[in-house]
This record gives sequence, C-alpha cells and structure tokens, in this order.
Amino acid sequence: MTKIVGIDLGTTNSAIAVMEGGESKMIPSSEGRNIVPSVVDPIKRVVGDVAKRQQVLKPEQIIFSIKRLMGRRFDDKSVQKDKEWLPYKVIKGKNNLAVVEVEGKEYAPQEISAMILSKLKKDAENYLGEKVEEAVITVPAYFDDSQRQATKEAGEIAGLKVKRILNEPTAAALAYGLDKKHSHTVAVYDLGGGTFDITILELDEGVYEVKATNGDTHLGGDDFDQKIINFLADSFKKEHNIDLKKDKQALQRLREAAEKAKIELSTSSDAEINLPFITQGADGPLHLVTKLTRAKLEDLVSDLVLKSFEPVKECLKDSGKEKSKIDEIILVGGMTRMPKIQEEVGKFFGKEPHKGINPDEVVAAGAAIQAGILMGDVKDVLLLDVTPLTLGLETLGGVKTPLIERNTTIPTSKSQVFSTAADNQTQVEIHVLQGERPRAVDNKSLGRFVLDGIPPSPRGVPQVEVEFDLDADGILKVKAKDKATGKEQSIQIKGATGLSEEEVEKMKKEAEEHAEEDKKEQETIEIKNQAETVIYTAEKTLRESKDKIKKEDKKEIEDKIKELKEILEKGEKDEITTKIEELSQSLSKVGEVLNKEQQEKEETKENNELDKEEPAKADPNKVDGDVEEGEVVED
Amino acid sequence: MVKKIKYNKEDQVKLVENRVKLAEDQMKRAVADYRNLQARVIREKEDFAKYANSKLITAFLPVRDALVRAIDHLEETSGVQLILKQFDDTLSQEGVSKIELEAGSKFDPEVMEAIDGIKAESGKKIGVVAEVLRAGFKYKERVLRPAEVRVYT
Repeated sequence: MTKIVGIDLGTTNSAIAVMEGGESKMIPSSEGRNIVPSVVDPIKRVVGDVAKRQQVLKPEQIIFSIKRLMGRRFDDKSVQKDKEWLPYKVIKGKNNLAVVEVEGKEYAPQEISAMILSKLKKDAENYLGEKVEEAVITVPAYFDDSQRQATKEAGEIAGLKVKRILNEPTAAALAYGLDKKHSHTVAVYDLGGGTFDITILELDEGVYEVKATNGDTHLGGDDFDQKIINFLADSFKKEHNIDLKKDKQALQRLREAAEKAKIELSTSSDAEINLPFITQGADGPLHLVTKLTRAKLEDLVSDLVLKSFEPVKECLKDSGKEKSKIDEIILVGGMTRMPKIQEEVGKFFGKEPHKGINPDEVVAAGAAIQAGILMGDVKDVLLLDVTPLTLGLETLGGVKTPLIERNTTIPTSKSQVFSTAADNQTQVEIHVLQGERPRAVDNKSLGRFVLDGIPPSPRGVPQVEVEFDLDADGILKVKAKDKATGKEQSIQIKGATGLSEEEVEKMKKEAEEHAEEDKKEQETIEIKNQAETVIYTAEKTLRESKDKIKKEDKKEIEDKIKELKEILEKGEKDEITTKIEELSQSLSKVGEVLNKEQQEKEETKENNELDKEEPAKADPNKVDGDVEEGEVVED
Repeated sequence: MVKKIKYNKEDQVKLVENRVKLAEDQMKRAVADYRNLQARVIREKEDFAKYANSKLITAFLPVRDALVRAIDHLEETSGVQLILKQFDDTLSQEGVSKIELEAGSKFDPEVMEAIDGIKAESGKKIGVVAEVLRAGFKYKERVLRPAEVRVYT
C-alpha cells in the first residue's frame, strides 16, 4: 500500500506532508524549501519559484492566486472583483464558470491547480522514493460544493486520488492533536499571505463541525509588508525628495529589507535597515539607514490588525457562541508569528492561543495526520508510548547508572556489561531504579535481585551482562547474566512506566531542583571511588611485591594509605584529591623500580617464549563487550 | 449498556487471525518506514553537510552587493575593488560561484529573476537580458540566489 500524502493547496503558497512513524513530516521541494509558491506558467508547465521569477515579464501568462477562482461562476461577485486587479485574463468558460485565458488557450482553475499538485506529487515521490497516488487536500471552510468538487478534480487531473477534502481549520486542529480531547469549541485565526480566515469549530464525538466562518479575502502578510515599504519610502522622500518606489531596483531592495525587518521584529525589539547606495542623488550617492522599532511597526499596521477582528466578531455572532465559550484558539499563517497579533488574539478571547507548530506548515501537517488516520497509521502507531523517567541500576558508590533514558519510545531494550567491585566477589546485586537523580537513594527503587555463583576472580574481570527490556505495556524485565558461566537471574517489574502524571512531574522537578547539589554529591562519590581504587592498587602492590620493595618505601606507602583512609571517612573532596595524589606519587616511585625489574625479566622471557604470546591475544571473550567503569555493587 | 456477544470457536479463530494479520501488516509497515527513514537520513545528512553554510553565505551576500554599488557610485574605487575581489575569492573557495551572464544573455528563470521589463528598441531581441541589476549565486548545485535582471519585452 502506498502512502497517502496531505496537501495544503494555498492561495499564495502550497505545502505537502506525510505521516512517518506516527508523526507528520514536511516534504521539502526540489528547491529545498518546505513551501512552494502557488504560481504557475501554464504554457511551459513551470510551477513555484521559477514561475514566480518571470511574473514581471509575463504578467498575462504567469498565473497566481488561482484558488480565488476555483469552482466559481464567472458572474460571481468575487470573481468580478478579482478580475479587476488580476493581471491575467479571466473569462467565461464552460457552464458559465470562470476560466483563465493564456495565449488564446483556456485553462480551467482545476488545470492550473493540478499543475501545482503535480509538482508537489513529483517532489514527494523523489523524496519518499515511492509512488504517491492518494492525497488528502485541504480547502477553506467556506468553500462550497462546487469549489470542493473543483479541488477534487484538480487532484485527479494531477493523478492523485483524493481520499478526502479537509477543512483547513480542521487540519490545524488535528495538527495540534485537539481531536483527542473531549467535546470543545475551537477558534482558528488564519492570517496568510493574502487572505484572512476565521473559523469556529465544534468537536462532537470525535468529529469537527464548522459552526461559522468568516474572513477578508484581501488581508494578509503582503499588506503588512507594503505598510513598511511605504513608511521607508515616504521617510526617504521627505528627506531627499526622491521616490524610491519609482525605481524598480530600489523598490526590490526595499521589499527585501521590509520583509527582513518584519521577521526580525518578531523576536527583537528593533531592527536596523541598512541599504547603502540605494540611489544616486544630485550630490552623489544616497544611503538608506534607519531603525524600525517593534512599537513603530505595531503602530504602522495597527489598522490591519484591527481590521481582522471585524470578521472575528461576525463569526462569533454567527456561531451563536460567547467569547468565553471558546475553549481553544489556534493560530495559522506566517503573519501570526507577529507578537502583536498573538497578543491581540489572546486579549480578544481572554485565552492564550496555541502556537508551537510552524504556522506555515500546520495545515499541511494536519492534512497528513488525516491521511494517516485513513491509512490506519495514526491510531495504532500513536499508541507507542515513551517512558517518562529514566530506568537504571545502582553501581559502585551508590551511583545510579542509566540504561533506558527517559523519553525513549517503547518497546525497547538496552544492555550493558558490568563487572565486580572487589576481588573474589561471587555475587552481584542488581538494584533497579527509576528517576532522574544521580544518587541511587534519591530514585525510586523498583526491585532488586542477586546473581550469584560467579567464579572467584580479581575485581573487574567477571563480565555481567545486564539487559533491560521494557515492553509496550510498561512491563520491565531485567536480566543479569554472567558471561563466563552463562548463569542468569531475572526479575519482572510491572508498571515500570505506570506513574501518575503528578508523580512524574514531581520527580522531574526534584531532579531539577537538586541538580547542583546532586552534581557535587556525584563528584564526591567519584573521588571516593577513585580513592578506593588507589588504595586497592597500593595494598595489592605491597602484598604482591613485598620482597621487592624497600622498607622505607613500604612504610611511606602504608602511612599514606592510612592517611587517605582517615580522610575518606570525613569526606572533604579537595583533601581526598590531595591525598590521592600523594599516594599515587609514592606508588609510582615504587612502580618504576618494579617495572624495571619486570622488564628485564620479561625480555629474557620473551626471547624464550615468543610463540606462546600469540593465542592469548586472540581470545575472543576479552574483546567482546565494553566493561563499564562503575561496577555493580557488592551485595 | 454493553452487550456480551458470545463467539463460537470458528469466529474466535477468525478474530484472532484478523488481529494477527493487522499486527503483521503494521509491523511490516513500521519496519519499512524505518528502513526508508534510515536511507533518507543518510541522504539528508549528506545534503546537510553539503549545504550547511547556505544560510550564512546568503546572509553575507548583501554586503557584497553594497560593495558593488559602492564601486558604481564612487570615483576612486581601487581599494574597494580589491575588497570585492577578496570577497569573491573567499566565496569561490567555499564552492559558491557567480551565475555568469551579461547584457544580451537569454533570460533563464532557473537562475534569474526578472525585476523589470523594458521595451525592446529596434535591433534588440525580446526575452534577452537588458541589464544585470544584481548578481546571482550558485552554491554547488543549488541556486543560492537568482540573478536579478531587467529584460527586453
């Protein structure tokens, strides 16, 4: 079965997305962008940026805003109005429908839209590496039957079976996952490049119903840009008496600068516009250098923002809902990135609007989710849960070593090799922990068990493989296996993810609050572990080489061990570090002497037994598995 | 409310079979998704490495434009010319190439954007570039920024 894609066929821009692993993913165009301008050269069948670049040259041939004509009759009031300003020819076609004429050839809006859809389809096929034959396409909530039918036909002309025509506001609500909530009412505020839509939806038994919709077909981001351009050009004219808008090249620079400033002002409070040598004045070159503050921008566009609330009020009235009865508000369209708009919408409804999903992509994402539901993908895959807290075990010094990190998608399994902490240790205790704190005792204990029967050997030699297996139901199986003997022991813990939301939050919060002291604590533990290792090595050296070490050296090391042991009890980190260093120094002094002797010995040995060395190197067991530094604690 | 439906053995087997089929299908799809994703992640990684600097380089291009305009407007330009050369050399070392065109080249929307059209006088061909207003650049195989041109119409 091939994938069903979700398509946002927009007035200004279009986008396509697909479900993947239970989440929507935007498909980049062949130009490497997530959106494609809805601009078409029907003669050469060129779509997107490449068509847009010729707009100035062939205004009668390059078709944009075709969505405004979709499925409309020629004598429709809006068509008559749009006909006035659209630079290409709009004429009466078959069944009195509006069609465009380019170089004497008629094109139905469906055909033009189909070219956009074909490009999206082709880009998707290249990206996914498979055929794309089915799609969910979105339309504005106000589209009537014939406009929806036309959109469906456009899909079919492009070789796409349209599985569903979806309302744009509904798609946005799906993208935010609101359909999983109980019955509620949503307002979708959609301010795009050239159009504004407001829709009130009601979710009832899992189905969205459009309660009312309204808008302004000629209000969008382009108007905002124009305000900035006008402001810049006017101030320049006042100062230098030159109209930059008459110079196409300068106007292009202004347009770029205006858009850049607008975007910058969404995140910072002022933006500098710096266009050196913008034009030639009577006394030499002129530069445009000015600052635009966010406050000034908000002032410039305040009437546009205000204008959008007229339809909002109308829409509310038509829906028969009070403002206070709106449970959720969603922002769609690039212009809603503007802080002022977010603020005003929030103020109007008395509620924070949803944001977070890219407002240019949210409709396509929602369409993909609908496509996923049709494929049977979402329902099942989305059930895949994540583990809310880290699962791990206690290792030497009371440290928690994580095996399955939090937010890992389950089912999952992880394994790691541990070793013993003392010589001749014959058993290890596996203490299973849940939580984010570095110290074992600060985490929740899920259970413990002992693996015994480990053959006596020096510390660090036995290899104990511990495997955590967390299944989709949150059941955790922990297995410990001694690699040498194959002996194993396991435990099963039910509800390893089954913490209440409050518990999870509490544990996360605790972890954050204690992060600083936890870090110190952990450092101390690490230092202590280090101290113990050094003491162990020192004692071992003394024991094994007692005949070879000089008396005074032996005394020195013994004293140092004693000092370190004493200081270890009190637990001052810096002092321990100093003592460790002292002991290490004494030890390396002795070590040098011992090494020299050893080397001399080995040289003679090597000469005699060169062949015997080989097989030892090839021991496969030794290579296998990394032995972790923090060893499993002794029982 | 909920009625208990009794299934006979045969129905139960069918139910289980269906569930197994569904589960198998889902698993296959998940595995396929994963494989495809793996392949694509490799491709995307390569692309990312290849074009990682796109945004930064594009952001620097207006500085170059300003240098060019300075040369057009100033009288003594030898110093600025050298700076421009330095700029272009650095760009080309990074794999950025200027889209080569001049007045008289054929208009190509793949690499050019028409900003303005002017009436072709006699002897001038329609659809050819009258003037290059701003240079365009390619970064490896991608158009970083199309050249802005004025075209005879």
